Amino acid sequence: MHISEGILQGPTIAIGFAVAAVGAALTMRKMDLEEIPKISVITALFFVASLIKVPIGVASIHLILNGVAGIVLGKRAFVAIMIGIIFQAIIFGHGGLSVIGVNTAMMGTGALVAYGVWQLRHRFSFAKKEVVFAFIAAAMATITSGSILALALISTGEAFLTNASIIFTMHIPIMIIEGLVASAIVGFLLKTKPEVLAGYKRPESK
Amino acid sequence: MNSRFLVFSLLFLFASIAQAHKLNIFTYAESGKIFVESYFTDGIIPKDAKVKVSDANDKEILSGVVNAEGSYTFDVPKAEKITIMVDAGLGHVVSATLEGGEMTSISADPSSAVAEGDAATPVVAGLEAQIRKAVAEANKPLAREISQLKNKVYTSDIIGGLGFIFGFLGLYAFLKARKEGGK
Repeated sequence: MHISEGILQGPTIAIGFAVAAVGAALTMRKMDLEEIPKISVITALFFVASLIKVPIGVASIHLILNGVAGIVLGKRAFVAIMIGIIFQAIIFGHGGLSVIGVNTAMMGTGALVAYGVWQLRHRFSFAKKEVVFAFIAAAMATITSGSILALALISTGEAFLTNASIIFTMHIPIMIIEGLVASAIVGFLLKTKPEVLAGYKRPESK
Repeated sequence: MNSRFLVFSLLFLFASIAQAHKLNIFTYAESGKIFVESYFTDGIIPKDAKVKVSDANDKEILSGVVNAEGSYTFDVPKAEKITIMVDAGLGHVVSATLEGGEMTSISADPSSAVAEGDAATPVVAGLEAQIRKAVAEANKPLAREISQLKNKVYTSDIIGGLGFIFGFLGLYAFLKARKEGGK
């Protein structure tokens, strides 16, 4: 889900950079030294995720994993995604240098929404709620990013509603796959290392 | 950090390394026509992609829609320099620029070759045009392969990128640790 270079107009690109800069500045505040290794692993994961192709019938899509970044890193996911996008642009030519801002705003916001949804799990109590919330969070991240993509494409003269509906239909399989991957990752982490998940609360001792 | 977590992440990274869903364009001129072919890196042909041809001043010369094979053909325009843009929707846009020589070098029309060459040797000129056409024909698969190679993602790029990420954040951690240790 990258916007390529040469599609967007100047103002949209400027807004993208502004949102990315403000987002990065706000989410990087008071960063702890211990958080950095975790951020780099998730950045690396996000960086290669777009190369992992998932075939669906004749078409194929690639993973985004911004939801997973939000679930694991919380608000720090924004920075991880920005770094990932910068390197994707430089090394793979995904998107392009001028659209780093727009792409960061698009996928980073998705990650923050995922984090918000993920945190809601504390208000519920049922079995396997983490796995369920991971699915919803990742799906919401995809919807959010898709909506921002549709918004960004308005400036190219494409109508928002038609675009949004196409993007929405296209992203249904992506949402499901992202959700399943997030659930699998969360399920695994819960068993092995639950404290790496964002907003982890130690269960009260029995 | 748990080593199992690291191993799991790495496994995930290399589970399947494939190309992204990127739109590509391949253009060539032949017999006074320009052929445009577009395809996604994963081999999928863009459906109903719009094609727009504009000149050096960004003025639209002509536009159309690709056929079922993802290609679009048009006569060589008068313009010196043209830009061909293929828009498959949802931000999948790609463009290619052709300049004078690239559009006319493979003219199969012997009469134009005669006009350019020595008027006394029309046969040679005709032959030259035929050779040019044959060479262009033979180069076509090669040119296509090059355009595909340009978009290929190499494992070394991936490893390099990962190295950059860990290195960059490691450096950041190092500087931060030094600053915090200093207080």
